Amino acid sequence: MNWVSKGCVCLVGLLGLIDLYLALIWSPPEAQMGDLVRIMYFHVASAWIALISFCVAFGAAVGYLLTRRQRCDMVLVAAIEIGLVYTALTLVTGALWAKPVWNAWWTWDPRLTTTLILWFLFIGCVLLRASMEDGRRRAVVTAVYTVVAFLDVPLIHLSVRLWRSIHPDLVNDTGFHMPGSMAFTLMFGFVVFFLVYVLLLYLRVRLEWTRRTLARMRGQAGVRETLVGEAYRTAPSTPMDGRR
Amino acid sequence: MSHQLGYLWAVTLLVWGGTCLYVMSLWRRQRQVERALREWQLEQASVQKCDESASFTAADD
Repeated sequence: MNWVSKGCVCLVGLLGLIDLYLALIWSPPEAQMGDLVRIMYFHVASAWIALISFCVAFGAAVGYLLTRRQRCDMVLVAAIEIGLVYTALTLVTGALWAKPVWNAWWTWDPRLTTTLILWFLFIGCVLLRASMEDGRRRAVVTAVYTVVAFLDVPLIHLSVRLWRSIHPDLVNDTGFHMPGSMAFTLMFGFVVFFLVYVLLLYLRVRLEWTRRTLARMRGQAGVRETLVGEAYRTAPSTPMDGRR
Repeated sequence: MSHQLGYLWAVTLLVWGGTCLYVMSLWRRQRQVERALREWQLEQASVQKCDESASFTAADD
């Protein structure tokens, strides 16, 4: 890691500590939930980052289908993986929040269900990709699958309005339905999580690039060895044979 | 109150611990691929050296 990357990691770490202070100490407790409302700062930020990651994946998928650039496929793979990590965090923190507040780890609420479906859809995408050989076909299949699976993302956003839901909708098109200090903590947390996301995306794309460089060099060497081997097999045994 | 705070710290640890685990997994995979790349480059360099010395020997003959 160069000094710029180390500086970025230190900066994000420092902002993370400030976020912890704001979320766990500075922000006020809620009238009914008390201190449990503080889970919101991690749960909502994780959920937003997961949705942003799948939006990035969708953009990369469309970009790949239009341009067939390897760079788009690398971003697509990275965004899907990070999106899955953050969706898992959202589901787990949501369950931990639901238990003391709703008295249940899980309910088949529209927003929860559509989020779980999104998670399963992209797990399927990763498994499908892993089952195919390297190549252009694999990238095309992943891109098309992502475009189709992405339809669930707007559905998650609209689920609390389309169906009857017990999931709170504290931040919507009309603004923040909470005190200013809580809204500030939430937005600060979101900015920190977004910076972490950018860092993760950079690390994952770099990994994919290195992996492909290795695969390409091995492939080139394999082709060269095959060509040399074939030339050796088809070459005349003596110079005289060749002249004949 | 204290029970809730303990619960909150557990949730916080889960979120940030999970993120740290993922970062460490990325670094580990990166190191593995870079090591494989270095080993492969060394292997190719030694193969090339062998080929060159063999061709020199053939030319001498």
